Amino acid sequence: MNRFEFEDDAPSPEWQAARRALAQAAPPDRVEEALLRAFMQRRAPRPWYRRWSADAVASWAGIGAAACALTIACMSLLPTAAPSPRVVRVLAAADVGFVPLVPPERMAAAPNPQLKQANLPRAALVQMGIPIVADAPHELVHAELLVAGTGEPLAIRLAVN
Amino acid sequence: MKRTFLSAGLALLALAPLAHAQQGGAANEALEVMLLRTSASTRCTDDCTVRSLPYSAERVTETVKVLADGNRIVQRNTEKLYRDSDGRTRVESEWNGKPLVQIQDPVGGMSYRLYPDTKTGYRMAIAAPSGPAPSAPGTAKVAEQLAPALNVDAAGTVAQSRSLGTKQIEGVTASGTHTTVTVPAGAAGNVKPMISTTEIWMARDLWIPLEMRMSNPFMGDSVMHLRNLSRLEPPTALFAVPADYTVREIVRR
Repeated sequence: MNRFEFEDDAPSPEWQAARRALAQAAPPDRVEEALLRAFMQRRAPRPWYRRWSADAVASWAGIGAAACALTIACMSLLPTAAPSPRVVRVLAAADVGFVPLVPPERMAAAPNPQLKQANLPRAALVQMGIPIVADAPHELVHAELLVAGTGEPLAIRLAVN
Repeated sequence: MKRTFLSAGLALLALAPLAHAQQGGAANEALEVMLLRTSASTRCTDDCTVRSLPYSAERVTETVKVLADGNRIVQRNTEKLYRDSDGRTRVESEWNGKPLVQIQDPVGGMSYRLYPDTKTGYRMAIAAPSGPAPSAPGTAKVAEQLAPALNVDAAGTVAQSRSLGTKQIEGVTASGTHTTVTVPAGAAGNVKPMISTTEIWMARDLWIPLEMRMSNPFMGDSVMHLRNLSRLEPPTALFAVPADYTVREIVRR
């Protein structure tokens, strides 16, 4: 049963009489369902994405794209992992050109890394995964190795003139 | 106005990875040039070039490294090797997930690194390094050379080398050498002695290593062996740079 309350300040006597007469009246069930269905179709809540205008979508997409671009640009300026200060110092002193022998996270976590030097045969360097020509397999190449305090080799650089 | 803002944002988004890639590209180039310089810098130029002994083979390298947490890293790598009668060599491998071709041409005096996926490459004239030669007492022993690099402060390191005689590998006579380097307990803070071993089998009449086994407590175990060895002359085209490649010359300084 539907009840309707009116807040009119001064309803006319005719209106009050009609109100009293119809207060207990109810529409047939089918009519009520049809009316509710029609009402819901006209007043159905819109999904969230239809509440935004095309301009608003364009603005927020632009802001989002710019933010992503700035994030990527900033990330490119950062190292892939946070190496220890000792690793940073050693790598900076050693300049560029190191071939990593372990994943970056292992290098970052390496304790007390040191730069050591050795003369290694070309065949051994190839076997370590360094892609160089080893036509003279026993020929020695001067190498600088970044070695963790545990002795694990982290990166290698070959030094030739 | 809003569409302009959207376009600018999308353009920035598209350009950011390119900037990142360019930064990485410069570092990669320095690395590639260093590796090319190492290949092109050899004292073993004309006098060491192996002529009239052509071959082709596959080189398979397997490396097993056991980490402190018990995890194991197993890597398997296959390369194709070629040498012609003039002593030119070609190695087809994979480097950083991309195909790499290295050609050493002692006839033309050039060393090449070629990248088939982009049809580009670098070349450098082959020359002996200007610095003093690293000392190699007798036959170079890999384990002996690795040990001082990894345990530079270790005192009392003992190296022993012995001949393993000869054996047939892929139908070729190979002579073997086994080297053991022992770092005594306590020399480098180690509780137990650290032992590194290297075993090399060299083909007597081809002058190439047919098998090599390295075992080092820090670097793990690796085994290299040659398979599908053929002594036929490889096609000449394998030792030339294809005409559609763009090759940049790196001048030695």
